[in-house]
Amino acid sequence: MNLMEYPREDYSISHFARANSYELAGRELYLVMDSGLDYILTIDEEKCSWHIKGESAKQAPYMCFKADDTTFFLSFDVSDLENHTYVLDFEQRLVTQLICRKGVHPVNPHIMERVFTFGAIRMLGYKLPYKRHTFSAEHLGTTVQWRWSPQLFTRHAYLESDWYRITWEDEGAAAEDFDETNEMLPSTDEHAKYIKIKENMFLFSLTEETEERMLGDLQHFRCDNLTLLQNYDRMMQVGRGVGDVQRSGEAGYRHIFVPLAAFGSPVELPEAFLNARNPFTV
Amino acid sequence: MNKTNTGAHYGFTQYCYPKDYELSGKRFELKEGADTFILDFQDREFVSCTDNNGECLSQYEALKLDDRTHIVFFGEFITTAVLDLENGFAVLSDLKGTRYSFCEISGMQQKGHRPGYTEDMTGTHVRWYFGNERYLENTYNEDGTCTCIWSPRTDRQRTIPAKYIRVKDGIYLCQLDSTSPFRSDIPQGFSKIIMLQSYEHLETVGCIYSPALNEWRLISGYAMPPEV
Repeated sequence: MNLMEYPREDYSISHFARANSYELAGRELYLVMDSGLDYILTIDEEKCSWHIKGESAKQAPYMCFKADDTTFFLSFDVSDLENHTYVLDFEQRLVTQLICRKGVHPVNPHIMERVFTFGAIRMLGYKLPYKRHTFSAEHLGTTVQWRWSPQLFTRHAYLESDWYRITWEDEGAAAEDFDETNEMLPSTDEHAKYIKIKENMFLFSLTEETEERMLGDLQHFRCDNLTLLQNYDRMMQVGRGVGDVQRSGEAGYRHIFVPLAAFGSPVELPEAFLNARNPFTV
Repeated sequence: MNKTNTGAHYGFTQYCYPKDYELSGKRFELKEGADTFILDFQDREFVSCTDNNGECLSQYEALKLDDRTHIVFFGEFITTAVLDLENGFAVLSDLKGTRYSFCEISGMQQKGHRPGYTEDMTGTHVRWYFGNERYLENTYNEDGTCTCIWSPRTDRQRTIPAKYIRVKDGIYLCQLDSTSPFRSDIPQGFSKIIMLQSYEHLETVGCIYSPALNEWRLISGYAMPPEV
């Protein structure tokens, strides 16, 4: 039989999602955050238990992926309205926390609030490091093709500190998936943040907020946040997506929390695409 | 600054996943008939393997293909172990990868079929990408051979000996034994290729091995239909 025709599921952009790493199972991590709130994570092979120092613990199933031998991307849903994501960098004993919350915007419940906090991992016998992961403009100018599945790839341009721009080929899986929604928009510029984790490793976090504000009920995906830990040494990224989706034939929206991964390669993009004005900024 | 690169400094190992240290501190007893093998992963670096010939301590490297399936390389030459902790089975090669044992893992409940040699892969035609534009194209043949094309030497095609093992649904172990052409993307002399392949996710993890140097390099990658 031709195993390329193996009857597999349609995983879309989760197709190349990595195996969950249970390497942190059995560990308790004490995170000293710059917000002044210390977080304690206790991890086993099924759940991550977490609490702020002095408060009661809660637990949730988690996703955990490695971006290199010592850097972990850990994410879990606290509820359908709140997701916590950590980049745990054991090489430098640093941590970045991203908390995403829905339902906090007074008008649109889909709009997702994102709060980044930096900190350090307390480890026995070591001083707390003074360095931090940091918002960065260092990899602005990067253009990259990300392959999400054998059929699906997208091309990203990171041009401004708070935005990213995406494109794809005229034909193919990406065009089938994304053309209809994006044809209603003046451009594909979207809200994004870039955080430098270490040399050649960045946390890229995009939120489809512009799309949400402009299209609202005209789209299926509502203000999703995709956060990916990008390793530019190996040209790979791992991460997760959270948000709301309306499936065809279903009334209402369903919360999604999906793993993501892609293989990267350099790409040259047309000057006209790169130089086009971002219509969403003054 | 554009941070992308073609991975030339890694070559065929560019897309290799981070190493898997989950097995550290774990001990597995593998049984095939009257034979017993013990794999004792002492830490993140060393494994002790005990069989009928005695105990041998060596360095190991491991990768994960799915949440509960690990591939491990260790030994004086190259021994391959696939641990399927979902179904309680293991596949273990001999010292040089010439013969495989299909074992139960003691203390685990066995589910599904025991792994074994298979003809399931016959007729599969696939291109495995291990880095930017670096690939190995395989056609798995009925007679237990594999026809290979190594990038960028698309002008060269070789049909070489192969071993095909079904590990579990959608997951196969494939071992190719031959030399690769000069000026292909695989480093010269790294002639043995061992891949644990998922046809559910079209990903592979494994290694390339040089019998001459007695060294291996871990690899990972994804599959594409060759015509794409």
